[in-house]
Amino acid sequence: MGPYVELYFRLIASRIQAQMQYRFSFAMDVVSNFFSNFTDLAALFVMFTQATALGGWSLGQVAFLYGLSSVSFALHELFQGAFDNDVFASYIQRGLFDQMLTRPLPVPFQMFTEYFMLRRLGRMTQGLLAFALGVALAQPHWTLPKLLYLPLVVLGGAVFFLAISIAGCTLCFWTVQPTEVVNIFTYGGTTMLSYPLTIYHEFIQRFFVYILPMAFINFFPSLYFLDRPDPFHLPTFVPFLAPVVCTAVFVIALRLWAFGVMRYTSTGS
Amino acid sequence: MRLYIELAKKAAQRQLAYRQANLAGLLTNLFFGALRAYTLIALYGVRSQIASYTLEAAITYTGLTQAILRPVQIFGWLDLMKTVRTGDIVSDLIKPFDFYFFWLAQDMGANIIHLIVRGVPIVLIYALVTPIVWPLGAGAVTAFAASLLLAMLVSFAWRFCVNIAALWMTDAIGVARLGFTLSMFLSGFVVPVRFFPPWLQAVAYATPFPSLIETPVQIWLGILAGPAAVHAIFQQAVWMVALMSVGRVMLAAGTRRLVIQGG
Repeated sequence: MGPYVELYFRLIASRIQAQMQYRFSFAMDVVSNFFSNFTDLAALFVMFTQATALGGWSLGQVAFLYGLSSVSFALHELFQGAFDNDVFASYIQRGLFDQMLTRPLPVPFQMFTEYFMLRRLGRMTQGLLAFALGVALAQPHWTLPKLLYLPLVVLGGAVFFLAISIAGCTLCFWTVQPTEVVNIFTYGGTTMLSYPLTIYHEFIQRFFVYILPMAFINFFPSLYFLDRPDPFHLPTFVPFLAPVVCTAVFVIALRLWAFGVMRYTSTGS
Repeated sequence: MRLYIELAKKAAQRQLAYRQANLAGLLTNLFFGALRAYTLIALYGVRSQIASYTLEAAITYTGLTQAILRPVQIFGWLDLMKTVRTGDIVSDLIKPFDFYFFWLAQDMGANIIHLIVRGVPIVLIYALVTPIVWPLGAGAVTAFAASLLLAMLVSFAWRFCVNIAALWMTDAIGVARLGFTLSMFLSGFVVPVRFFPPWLQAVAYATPFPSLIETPVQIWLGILAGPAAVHAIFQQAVWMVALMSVGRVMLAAGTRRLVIQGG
C-alpha cells in the first residue's frame, strides 16, 4: 500500500506540473470552467426572482442541494483520471489501453494516475460558492455530528459519481466509441440532483432512490442537514446510510470493470 | 453554388452515418428536457403564468430548446479553430472555393440532419406525453421556419468569429469556451430571457444571442406574433449580416497575417 501512495502523489504532481507550464492558458481554462458551470447557478437565481419556493424548498435550501452535488461531482472529475468516457474511448481506439495491460501496475491505479485535469478546479470553486450561499441563506442548525458527517457525504458523493464513470468506461470495451448515454447519469445526474428529487415524475424518483440510488449523494443527507421531513417516509437512519451505499456502488462498479477487462479483446490498433 | 450544395450533402451524410450516436444524443436531450420541464412545473407551483409564458408554453419551451440546441449548436463548436492549430486551414484556404461558404455549407448540412433526426422526434415525443403549444396558422409556421433558419445562420456567423479569433491567439480555446457560455446563457437557452431581471434582459437584448433561441421559440409559442414577429425576424437578419461581415473582415485580416508568418 505504502509505495502506491507515494507513487500516486509523485505521478499526480508531475501531471500538475505539466499543466502549469502554460500559465496564461491554464488560468483561462480555470476561469472558463468556472463560468461554464456558473450558468446553472445563475439560472437558479433567475428562477427564484419569479418564485419564493421550488417544490417547497427555499432558494437557500436548493442552493445547498446544488452545492453539495456540485462539489462531489467536481471532486470526481478531478480524481477520475482516464475514467472518462471520451478519454477512455480514445485510449481503446489508439491501442493505449493495451500498453497499460502490459505494465507491472494494477490497471485501475494506472487509470487514476493517467490524467489530472486541474482546470476542473473551476467547477469546484462554483460548487463551493453555491454551497456557501446555500448555508448562508438556509442557515441550517449546525451540530457537531452534522459537521463531522458532512465530509463523509461529500466524499461518498464523489465516490458514487466515480462509480458511474467507471461503469460507463466499462461499456467502451464493447462499444469502442464514447457513449453519450453515460452523460445522462453523470452530467444529467448532477443536474437532476441540483433540485429536490420530489419535483420529478414518480418513475424518476423511484429509479434514483431504489434502483440507482443517487438520492444518497445529496438528497437524503440534506434532509438531515436541513432538518426536513423525509417525503418517502423511510426509516430515520436512512440519511446516514450514504457512505455505505456509495461505497457499495463503487465496489460493484469496480467488479464490472474487472469483468470488462477480462472480456476485452483489443481493437488491434 | 452546386459545389456548396454538394458540400452540405456530404456533411449531412457524414452526420447520418453515426446512428448509435444520434440515438444516444436523442435520449440525452430528452432526459435533460424532462428535468427542465419538471423544474419549471415546480417553479410555477399553483400559478398559471410567469412573464407571458403559460405553464403549457413553458413546458413546450423546454422541448423546443432541446430540439433546436443541436441545429443552432448552442454549446459552441471548435472545428475551425482546430484546423488553425493543426495547420490544415492553409490547405483549405488555397482550395478553389470561398472559404467562408465552404464552412457555412458543411455546417448547414449537418444542422439540417440534426433537425430531422433529433429535433423533430423530440417535439413529437413531447406532444405524445404532454399537451404542448403549436404554432397557430400557416403564417406562424412560416415565420417560425424563417426564424429558425436565421437562428442557424446567426449562430454560424457568431461561431465563425470566435473560431477565427484563433488566428491571433496561440491558445484560444479557453476564450472560445467563455464566449460560448456567455452566448448560451444570454440566448435564453437555460432560462427564458423574459424571466431575467430587467437589467439582465436589457443586456441580453443588446446582444445577437436572443436571435439564436429566444426569437424562434417565442414565434412558435405565439408570444411574438404579427408585426412583432416580423420585427424580430428582421432583427435576426440584421445580426446575421453584421456578424457575417465581421467574420469576413476578420478572415481577410487574419489570412494576411497567416501569410506573413508563413503558415
